[in-house]
Amino acid sequence: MDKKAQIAFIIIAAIFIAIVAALVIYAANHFRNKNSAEPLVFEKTSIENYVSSCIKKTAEDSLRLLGRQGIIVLDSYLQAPNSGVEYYIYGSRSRVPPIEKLQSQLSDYLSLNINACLRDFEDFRSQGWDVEKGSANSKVQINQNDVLFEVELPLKVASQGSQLNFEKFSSLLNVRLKYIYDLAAKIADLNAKIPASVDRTDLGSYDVNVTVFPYKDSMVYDIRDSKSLIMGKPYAFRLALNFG
Amino acid sequence: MTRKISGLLFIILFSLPLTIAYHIDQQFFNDINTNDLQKMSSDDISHNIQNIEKSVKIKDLTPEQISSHIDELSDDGLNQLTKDQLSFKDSSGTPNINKVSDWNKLDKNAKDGALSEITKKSIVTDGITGGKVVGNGVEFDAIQFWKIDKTSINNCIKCSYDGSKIKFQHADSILTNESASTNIDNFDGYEDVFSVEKADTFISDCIRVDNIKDSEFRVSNQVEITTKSNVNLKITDCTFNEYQFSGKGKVVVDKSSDNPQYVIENGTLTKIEDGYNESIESNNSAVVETDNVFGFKCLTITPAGSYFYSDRDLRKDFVVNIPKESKVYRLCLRKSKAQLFKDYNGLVDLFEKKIELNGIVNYLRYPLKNNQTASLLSSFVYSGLRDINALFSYDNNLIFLNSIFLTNKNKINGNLSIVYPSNYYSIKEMEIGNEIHSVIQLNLNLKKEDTAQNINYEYGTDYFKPIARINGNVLIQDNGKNRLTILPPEHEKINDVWKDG
Repeated sequence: MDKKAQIAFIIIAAIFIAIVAALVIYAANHFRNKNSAEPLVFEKTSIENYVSSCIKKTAEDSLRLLGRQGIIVLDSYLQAPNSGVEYYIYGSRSRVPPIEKLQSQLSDYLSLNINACLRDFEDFRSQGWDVEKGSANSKVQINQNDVLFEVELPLKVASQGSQLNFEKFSSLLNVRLKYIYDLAAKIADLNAKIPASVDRTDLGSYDVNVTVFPYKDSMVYDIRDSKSLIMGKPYAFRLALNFG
Repeated sequence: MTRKISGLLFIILFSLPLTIAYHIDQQFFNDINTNDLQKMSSDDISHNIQNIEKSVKIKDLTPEQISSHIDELSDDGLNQLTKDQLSFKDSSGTPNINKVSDWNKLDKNAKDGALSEITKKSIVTDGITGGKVVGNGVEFDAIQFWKIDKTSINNCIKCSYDGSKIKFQHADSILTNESASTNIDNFDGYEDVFSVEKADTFISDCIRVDNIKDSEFRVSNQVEITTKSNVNLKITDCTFNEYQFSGKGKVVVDKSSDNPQYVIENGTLTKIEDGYNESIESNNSAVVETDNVFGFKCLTITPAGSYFYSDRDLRKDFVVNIPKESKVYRLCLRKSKAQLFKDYNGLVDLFEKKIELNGIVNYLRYPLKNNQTASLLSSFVYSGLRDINALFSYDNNLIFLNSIFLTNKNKINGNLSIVYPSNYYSIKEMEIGNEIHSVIQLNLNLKKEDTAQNINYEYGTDYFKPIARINGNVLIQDNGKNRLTILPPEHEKINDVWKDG
């Protein structure tokens, strides 16, 4: 092997080692961050934060599902890749779900799925704590600039003779769902009068990004709100329109 | 011998009195004065008609006297008949001239004078076959030359004048005070107001019309032609420019040798230029101002009507249509930098490659696909529904639209306009909630392969600031705080939308 070949080999080996080292450092940081959740201690705030973070995660899931489908429980919908999208217009009839229905579906979702996150307080029991819980009862309030998720969950946690009592947990997500819902309702209202239409004047007054496209004889509106972030990404809300 | 002499003597003795008598009669008629002649009975005239002819005294008979003896006249006698004798009508109303079978045997002045007397028109004739007076008019089976007042007709077949109008089946030419026509069939009219079933050519001063069919002419300081069926007339005006009028309507052209003006009703006027044609179609009426160099200049269209621009390259063709809902519309056509227009409703600027349309008007072109004409059925590009201004800017070849900008300077409410960027999009400026909204409507029935040309242009208005930019049939409107994107059928980004979110 001549000298030039040796130098080239050494350079390639050095680059390879540097890449491997970078990957190891990245992975180490990544997993350390993942495991860097606040340690669970027998304190009111710590337990509240634990439950609230579960509410938040479940609420975020519910909002993402609601946004992806335009509703949580699909009724009459466009079958799209990976999901359905609820029709807000079918034929010439408006099918915009009332906001109360969306609130109800969000709260139902939370009630049904919160326990999957809490894992029946297994983390608490593994600490040697006694846990006594009542049934979860959720309530969701969709506001102009946020969504409030509240869960009535009677909870008693006891450890070494001490007991902490909880009745209610909540999480406020900064998703402008009412703002987006009003826009979606306006879109449906316009399309009930003028099928397959896009009001560029109206959309220009909402600070959201909107993509409109035809799909399977229907029309899809995809609304992205960069002021409503879920997991660091703009909130996405879709609705489908079919004009028969 | 004796017998021969006696026979000859007998003949001489027998015929001598007759010869003497004859000479006495002829001399009698040579010497007879007019008064005595006009006292002769009808029988005397009948017995002495040849003597009267020979003594050239036929003309001295009263019209009434000769009336019943015209058929007894020889050619020589006929030639002696006077205007008054010929124009005289007997108790049955039959004019003496009608008792003459061959009018060519009559004295020309007497014949023409009689005909002029009967018709009360100045008439000159020559080469008549089958002439006949009818009422106050006259008919000819054929006539080589006929002049009536200021109208001259050559080689006419089945011609007549009925007291008000001239009619004929065919003539080689007719010359009126203001015009001349050739090879005419079924003429009906008088002087400079007439109709023809067919004529090869009509000329009035410097105006020439060819290929004439089913048309009525009125000629004065202008030529007015009313077509009674769908015909094509070739008109060469006083600038030597050729125009074609087609349809069942009317065209009027003046005799200006500078910039002639046409008026059309219910028809189409076409100017064939080098490389392109221009037409104005009127379902009502239109005034067409022309330029002796550039052809059509300004069109004042009373709705409904349309201006057609037809190029060798079909992609450049377009139509400006003035619908019946519009007011009278003045559309001007700029073809040179030197041409400047001020008062107009619409301006087609072929020099700057721009089209400005105000008010209620439609603008159509052939749809394009892959840079070629996709259909020979014109599609709407723009419909102005109210009094707004639309400005269209094109590329240098006048094929691809670069931008459309609408101005609502009068701040009118209501449904203002519809723009059709492609067969996928239409953009309506319409009233929603007491304000004007720009609403894009999509054709959801289109497949990707059915979409028209990938258009690239901008759409804007003076009352809504964000401009819609259309590139490759993707419409994007971005005002900095929001972004609207409209994707065409089966666009690749649709999958990205589904994946993301």
